[in-house]
Amino acid sequence: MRIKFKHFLSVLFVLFVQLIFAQESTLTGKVTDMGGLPIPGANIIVKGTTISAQTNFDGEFTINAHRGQILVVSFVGMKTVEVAAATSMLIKLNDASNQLETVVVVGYGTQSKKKLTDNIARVTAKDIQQIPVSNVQNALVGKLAGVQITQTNGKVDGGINIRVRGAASISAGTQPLYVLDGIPLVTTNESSNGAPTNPLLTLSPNEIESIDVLKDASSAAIYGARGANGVVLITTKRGKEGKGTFSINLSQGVSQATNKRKWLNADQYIELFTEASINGLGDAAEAEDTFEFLAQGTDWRNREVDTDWQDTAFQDGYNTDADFSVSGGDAKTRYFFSGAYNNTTGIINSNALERITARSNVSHKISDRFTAGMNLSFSRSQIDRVQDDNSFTTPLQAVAQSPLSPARLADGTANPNTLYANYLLAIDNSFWKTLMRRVTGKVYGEFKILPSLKANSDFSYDLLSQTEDAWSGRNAPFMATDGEVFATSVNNETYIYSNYLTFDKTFGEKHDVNVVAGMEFNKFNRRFQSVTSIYFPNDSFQTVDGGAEVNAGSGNETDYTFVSQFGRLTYSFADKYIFKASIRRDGSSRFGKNERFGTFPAFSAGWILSEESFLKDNTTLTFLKLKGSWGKLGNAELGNFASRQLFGSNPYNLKSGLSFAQAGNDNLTWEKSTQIDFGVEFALLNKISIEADYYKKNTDGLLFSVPLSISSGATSINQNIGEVQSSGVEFTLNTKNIDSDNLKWNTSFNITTNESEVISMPNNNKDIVGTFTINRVGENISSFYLVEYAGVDPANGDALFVKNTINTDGSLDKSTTNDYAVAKRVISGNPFPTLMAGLTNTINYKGIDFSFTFQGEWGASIYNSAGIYQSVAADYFDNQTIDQLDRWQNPGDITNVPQARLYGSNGTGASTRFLDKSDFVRLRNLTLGYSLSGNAIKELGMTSVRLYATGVNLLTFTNYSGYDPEARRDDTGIGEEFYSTPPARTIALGVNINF
Amino acid sequence: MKSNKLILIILFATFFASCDSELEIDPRQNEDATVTLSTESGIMNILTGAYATAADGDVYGGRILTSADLLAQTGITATTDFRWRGTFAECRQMYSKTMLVNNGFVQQIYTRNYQIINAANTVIENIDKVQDPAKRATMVAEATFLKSLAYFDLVRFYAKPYEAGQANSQLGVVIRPNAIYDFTTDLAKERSTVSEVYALIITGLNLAYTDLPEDNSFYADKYAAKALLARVYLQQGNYPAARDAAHEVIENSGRTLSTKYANAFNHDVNQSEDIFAIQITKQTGENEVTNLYASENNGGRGGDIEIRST
Repeated sequence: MRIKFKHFLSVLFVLFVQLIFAQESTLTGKVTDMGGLPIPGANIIVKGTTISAQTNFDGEFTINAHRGQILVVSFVGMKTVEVAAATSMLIKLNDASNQLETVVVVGYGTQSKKKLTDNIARVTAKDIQQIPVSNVQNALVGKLAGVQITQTNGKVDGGINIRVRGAASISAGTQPLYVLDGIPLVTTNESSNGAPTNPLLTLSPNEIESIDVLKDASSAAIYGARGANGVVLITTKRGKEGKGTFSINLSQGVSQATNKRKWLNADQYIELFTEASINGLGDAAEAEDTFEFLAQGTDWRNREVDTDWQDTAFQDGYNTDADFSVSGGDAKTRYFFSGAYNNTTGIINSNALERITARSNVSHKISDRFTAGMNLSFSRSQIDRVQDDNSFTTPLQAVAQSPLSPARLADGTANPNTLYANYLLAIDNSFWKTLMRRVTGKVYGEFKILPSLKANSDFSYDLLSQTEDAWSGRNAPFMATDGEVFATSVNNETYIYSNYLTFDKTFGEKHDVNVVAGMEFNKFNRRFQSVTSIYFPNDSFQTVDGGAEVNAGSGNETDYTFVSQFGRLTYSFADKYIFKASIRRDGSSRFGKNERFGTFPAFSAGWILSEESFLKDNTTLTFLKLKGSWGKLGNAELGNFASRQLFGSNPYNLKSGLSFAQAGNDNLTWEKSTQIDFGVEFALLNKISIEADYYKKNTDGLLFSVPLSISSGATSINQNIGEVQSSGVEFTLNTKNIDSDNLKWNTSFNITTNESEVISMPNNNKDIVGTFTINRVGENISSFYLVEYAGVDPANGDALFVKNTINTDGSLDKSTTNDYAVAKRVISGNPFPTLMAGLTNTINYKGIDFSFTFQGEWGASIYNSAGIYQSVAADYFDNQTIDQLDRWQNPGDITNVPQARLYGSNGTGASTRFLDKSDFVRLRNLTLGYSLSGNAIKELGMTSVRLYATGVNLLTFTNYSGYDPEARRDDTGIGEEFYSTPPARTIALGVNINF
Repeated sequence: MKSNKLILIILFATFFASCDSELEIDPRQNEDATVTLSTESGIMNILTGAYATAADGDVYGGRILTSADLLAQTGITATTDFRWRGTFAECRQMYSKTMLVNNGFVQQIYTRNYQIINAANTVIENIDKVQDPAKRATMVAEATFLKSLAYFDLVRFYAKPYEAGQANSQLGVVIRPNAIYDFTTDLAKERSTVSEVYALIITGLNLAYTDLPEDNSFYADKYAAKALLARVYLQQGNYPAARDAAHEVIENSGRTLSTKYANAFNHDVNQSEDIFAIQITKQTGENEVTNLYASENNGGRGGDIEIRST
């Protein structure tokens, strides 16, 4: 055979050329979204190498790759795809916001939402970022079914109450467990002035990637003895493989109170009180004498002074937010750094917050098997506080002052001779600065023992250090010691050490098995000290050393520990039938020595019907899943030594003494909660997805301070006794209304119902009666229990009450009486809402984005415990609300306000007169943004610039007559308001730039 | 592979390592009752603690005095110079004689007095921990004195008054003759009669008089018991006995009248007139009397109780 050498050479040559091209070719491509819009800044990586590229402003890229290699294309918010390298590629990326493809965080792991049998509600960074509120919980309002978030009041340091699926307790803690990157956070209120501080103020929203709320037993049981009130998992941002991004956000906002009430002016005050004096005492002398004193020499007869005290208490608030973040990584290392600054001036005089936070999350793949990382964050918040709502010097109590009193004297100093202590004296002559510093960190390692078995070891540390400095000068109200300084310092330290193994494998392509087993050790220590000193040379000395005598001091320490083991098994068959079981064993130093350990099992199951053959190709019903769960959880918030019989220090005249402090109960243990959940999830036409769930939580062994016969020497003993039940329905609807190239419109709606009822109680189900509430079997927890107000007797202007005494036949006597002592209390309302809803709409049109969230709550009432001072038709000289001008004056008048009688106690008894329904609908957030495009941006090196305007609490629709349905007192009581500050309505403008 | 197995073993070891001993933690600001009741210093401290409870604002730190003042007035401003102008609803109710069942000050006077009684009973029953017999007698006598003091105020506030010359079988207050240690049982008890309570008070004070020393620093002494007895007899309308008891204190106690009336008040230490006083200092005890009567400059609330001068 003669081989034609020429042919051979040409074949070689062609091959050779081909090889060269193959090794050094540059490929081009374009990345767009499903609608064809180019995506700038998308990352393309050649798989298995470090070669990477990024798309330019037109979505185009060039990359050093050749055919046969795989390119990995990714962009934030989109699903990552892998394509075979080719010339002139056109790659379309799909939105990752498809509900079913998301991954949710569960305890000690993650799971795909599609296969989830638990009930977990989730928000991600884009839902909560750039909302101008000083704390993170406020940004979640209206977005999570089954999670009720109530702002206590409008102070910047105001607390937030979160109830997940109603109440699981009466006396033990009611707040969920907060876990940040696996670290259970300390959330104790460390305030010394009666009003709580919120330790979650130390978190900045810009660090957060997602918040997952574990609502049912199956999800929360992995947290065992602390999961009964739900668990809020907060996950911070990680870096992603690809070119580093740098983004900054700046915003500036202005705030005002959502609502102000109307009070009497000088004219009306004089008219009403003169009349009251004549009616109550016979002549106007008492009123006129008091007017003289209040006017302090000014001419009240000619209305020389007409002070609007409410106006002095409120001020315009300001918010400034600035934050930056840097994130990126390569195949081995990922990083995320961020810093944030927030300066909020409150809507209440002299209330302000300034906070800086910083975070660094780094992880590195040391070898194929071993990854290690560290998350570290630091936060410093300085808060200028005002007194708690029950202090005379809290600014909003100024509404009680008379309009005849000048606020300040001619020389500018605050008027000291007012009806009540003038809070301006407190503002001019005192301060209360709280400084919270927090360091939270986690060091972790993950080791792949086998491809399907990995071991995680985490060590976490959380330090919350708070100092308070309270100075009062010589002219402060109630000052009798020439000045006083009170300084406190407290450190809360937590160590957590957890180790767990995860086994994840698919057998025979159909059997997916995931097993997690581990242990956790949690140790907490709190150390507190305080010092008070008095007798200062002058007002420039504002620290303890300036005082001549240290007259009080205290110091104490407390600890607790939790030791736990846990395990979880998730099994799914052919992605259709899913089964999950988990168990946790907890022991804690808090429990009585006979009941140290508890075991908390949970099971759940799911059936994805849409994977069955009869539904698999159905184009209308694209997803259908049934699920159910059952489990046991515990509530361990009982105080660190509640089970012991104790004596405590009680000194007498500088001699040491011991007094009986607590009655002991060796059987005291955590509250046990059993929860069931049934739910269905389905999606229609890939556009509509619906989730509906029914839940029922029974908690028994409630921690009660059971009253004892007082003559025994102890007033109460802690026992586990009593049962409550919380049940309801949750419904979530997500729709993609319009999904075209230029216009997208999504809606998300959630609605939750809740009934929380008392099932049994100590002492043979005897009622436990509080100041304004009652716990009675068969009724809502902490129902209002008040005398029923029946209006006014038209004949004589007396306030009337419904007798509600029990007749011989067992019915209630509904006739009225003007004698308050005869009328009996009845159940009159619910401090918690029974229906909550949230509606969010998001619209994107070309470069414009517009979204708004409405929130509503129905079924709750609020009792104004200051009503007996504010709205009693001039019973005492406090300024009255304007509705008191409708008082009864002549026989035959029909009105709801009794006759004005000074000192007459006409209608001043606690009654439903001061109870009002607080149903409301609120436009919670509204955001309008515009993303700039164009070459100018490109030239500056930016990938996107977005300008936005956003507002919080813009509109409120309610018939509630008080300040605001979310203004409640912060020192004590349930469902009460007492001169409480309304929340702020804020409007902010901002810009967000990505490089 | 050997290294893999080793790693696995180490992992399982750390995993199930039991830290159960970390669960034994003791409180630091309080002490287990069994520890307190087992030592002499514990029992002595409980006695001092009983005085400290008495110094609380709810009882002898002021509210016993102010409540009596408020109850004694007519409450009609036209007929009295003593006016209640403050915001405490509890005091307003006492002033206008419209007390409600949930009046917190009323509950606290009751609670604190029974805390004193239980502390006193605890001292008496555990006195064997104290070594010195003389000290034992004094301590038992002090505890008995405090019990009588507490019962005396209880029976005057919470029962119908003692009627001289009658049987006085109207309901008084609950008598607790023994200390209570176990609060998990049913502790309900019936009220005793007024005459039974007075009998207990007088027996107690006589025992205290016998065993207390003449001088016991600022704690209760012999003449404190006798002086209190004089007041009890006065309340009963037993004037001869009251006179005799008072006379003995005046003659023999060594106390004298203050040279100037005003000098008898506002002190940190006992003055010449003080037979027995609950000590209130900057650090311990409370002063609710100042709180309600005094002006802001003098440490009060600015005159919740106003004595009209014109």
